[in-house]
Amino acid sequence: MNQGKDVKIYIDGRKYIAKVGRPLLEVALEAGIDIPHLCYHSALSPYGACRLCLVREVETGRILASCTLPVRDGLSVISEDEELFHLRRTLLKLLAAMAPKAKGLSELYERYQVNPTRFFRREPQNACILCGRCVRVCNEILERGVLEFAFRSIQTKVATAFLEPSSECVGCLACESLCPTGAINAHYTEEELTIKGLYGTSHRILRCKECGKPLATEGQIKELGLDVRLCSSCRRKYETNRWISLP
Amino acid sequence: MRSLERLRQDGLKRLLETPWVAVGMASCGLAAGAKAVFDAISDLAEGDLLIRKVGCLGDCFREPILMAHLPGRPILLFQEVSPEKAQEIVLRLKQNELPLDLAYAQISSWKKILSGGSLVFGSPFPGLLLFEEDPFFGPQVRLILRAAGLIEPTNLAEYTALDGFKALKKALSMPPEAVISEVKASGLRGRGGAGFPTGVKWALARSQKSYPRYVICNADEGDPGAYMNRNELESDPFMIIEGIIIGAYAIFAKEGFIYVRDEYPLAVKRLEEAIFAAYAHGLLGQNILGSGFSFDLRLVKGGGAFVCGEETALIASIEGRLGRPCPRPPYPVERGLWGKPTVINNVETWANIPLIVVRGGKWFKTFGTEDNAGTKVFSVVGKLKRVGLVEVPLGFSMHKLLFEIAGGPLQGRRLKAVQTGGPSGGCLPESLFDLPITYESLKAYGSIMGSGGLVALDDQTCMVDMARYFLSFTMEESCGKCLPCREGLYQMWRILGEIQKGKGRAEDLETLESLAYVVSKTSLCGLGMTAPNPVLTTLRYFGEEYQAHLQGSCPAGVCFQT
Repeated sequence: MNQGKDVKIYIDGRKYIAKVGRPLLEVALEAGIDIPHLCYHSALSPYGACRLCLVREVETGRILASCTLPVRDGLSVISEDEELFHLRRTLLKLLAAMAPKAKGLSELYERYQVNPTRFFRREPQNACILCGRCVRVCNEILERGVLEFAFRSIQTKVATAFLEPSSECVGCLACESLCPTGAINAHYTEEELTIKGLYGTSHRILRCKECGKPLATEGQIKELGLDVRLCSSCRRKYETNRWISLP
Repeated sequence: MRSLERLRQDGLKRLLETPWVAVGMASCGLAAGAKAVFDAISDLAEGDLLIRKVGCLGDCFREPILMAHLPGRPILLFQEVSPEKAQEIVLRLKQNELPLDLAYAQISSWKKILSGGSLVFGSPFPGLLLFEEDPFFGPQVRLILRAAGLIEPTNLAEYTALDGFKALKKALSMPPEAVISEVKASGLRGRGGAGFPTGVKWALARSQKSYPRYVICNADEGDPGAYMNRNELESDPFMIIEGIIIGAYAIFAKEGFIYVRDEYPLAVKRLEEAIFAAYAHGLLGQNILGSGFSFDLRLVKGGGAFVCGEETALIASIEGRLGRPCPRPPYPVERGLWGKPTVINNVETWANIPLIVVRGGKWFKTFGTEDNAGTKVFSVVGKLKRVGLVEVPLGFSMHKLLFEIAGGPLQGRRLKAVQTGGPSGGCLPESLFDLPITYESLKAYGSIMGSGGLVALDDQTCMVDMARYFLSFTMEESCGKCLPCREGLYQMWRILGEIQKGKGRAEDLETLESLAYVVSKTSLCGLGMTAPNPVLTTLRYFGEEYQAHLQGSCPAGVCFQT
């Protein structure tokens, strides 16, 4: 994506230099232009699902999602105007009705004056906005394939296989760290890590053999093929002693 | 392997010199009881008469249809045939007697669109309606349905008797650029609904630098009430295969796919048989017709999602991924199937290709209007006297189609509106019936051409109910990826439900309209962009019906009934 040549583009009339083919949103964010966005993440492939990052292409007047709009020479867009404001506001209203328990959206709601509407709240306890960040990180970056979308229309869900606890998950929590609304979150007990939002997927926590501090999940240890179950500080001691005791 | 010429002679012999009876056995015929008719006569006819299973002529309101032919005589057409009537017809044919008294029309000659001549069966009987004079068939121009209903769909001999594969032979002797420029010159536009110029699409694909390239036939027709593609696949699969091979040759594709919905079992079966026959005769596979060009065609069955008719979702589905659309650009001509240049065209677009290659782009342009060349098959259904498949040149008057070809409203009723373009189309009121049917004219009034569904609605149809029906379809078929389509359509559907239950509030209409606007402006793919059309157009043209509902009454007497 980044290997294109430098070209001039215009955002809100100001000139910027950017590489051909990069998502416009990425360039705008780097330039400090605060275009609202939820499904976009710089480490993941552009997805274009939340539609909040809308911009207006000056040449045609078309309204496009900037996360999936590739930079080209002379591209000129408006990042906010009255209509874009109205569109984003309505989208956020839909979002609020869909996921009333989503966290981290209050700033956006305030900025776009989203207040209670007649829109029906289908699942009052829902926090997932189906932005797909968790699905993408699990498949694209970690290549674990634990998460995928299931069903369609309003039944769409982020799901593990057969909606059951996943045997593929190792508990890396990349999904949790990228979830913008807290729909996926981790619960720890002494023995176990349970990932809420992943259909009861849980992991036994292994502890350091020496000091007993929590080390990693059983799945991670297995995946990494570690034979010595020590935490980092105990491992340092162990290795040092090993070297010292060499003849 | 036999040469095409020998096949053609066989086909002509079968059609012209053999006594035969034929039963229309496309899905529409089967639904009306063609199987029982066929079973009733198959033993009876054996030995004396050839018994043929043909496709559909298009006059679905007359099904089951039987045709009878004795050498040198016109083909007789019989409508609404019962098994008993069929037996009588066959018995009389066996006595060498044509049951003129039972027939409703005759075919004395059949136009061979591809060569310009005609197949002459015999001079017409006086006093019996000619096929060309039938009020349903008369005004039609049958270019795509050039062989539908006459030939046995998977019989290669009969297909070649009507000049089948003549176009392929010609195309393979032309430089690929010449094929593309002919398609460009024809002005053919995509028949899937968007109306993108086909020749331009091909030229774009050809100008790409990467290989391999692919061609795909989009046969994932899913609009409620529309079945043009089904009938084209069931009645004449070879014309589509021929078109695809020509397209592949033009853009240097070595492999192609027909993506057909699995809910069309008969179309799937006939395509399988046709592809097999084409392979067996060297029309697919290695070194096609000795030209050095090789091409493989495979069938992929859809899994039942409407959205897979959208090209990027279709590609995802073939690749084995979730059938969900991706943002364009990149367009499939740049990066399509497995990231390679891919040309996707609708069934009907492919069906036009052999015609354009044989008769030339200029000839094709004589049909239709300046920017809307050629003909279009419409599936005309709803509250009309004559329903079925109608092929007319683009630019044809909607009024003429509804009132002359389709015979107007049912007894004592008044046509109120026509829904074009399926669930993503719009509802046009009576005052717009004079409109010529073109991509642009329909769009100007809030509807779309779509793939060619026309549903006529009369005074017993409630427009709120109708809008909600189409919305419930698109809502359920939304893939669930983007927010406006998934959530917006759902909220619209709920508001319409409240209005229908008499719980509507005055501000609801405004909310509906603004929501419809947002969904159409911000959705990721064509499904969401067009799904609000039924609501927007009914609000625009039938606002008084919505008002009446807010007041607590349904003018058509459909809603508020418990």
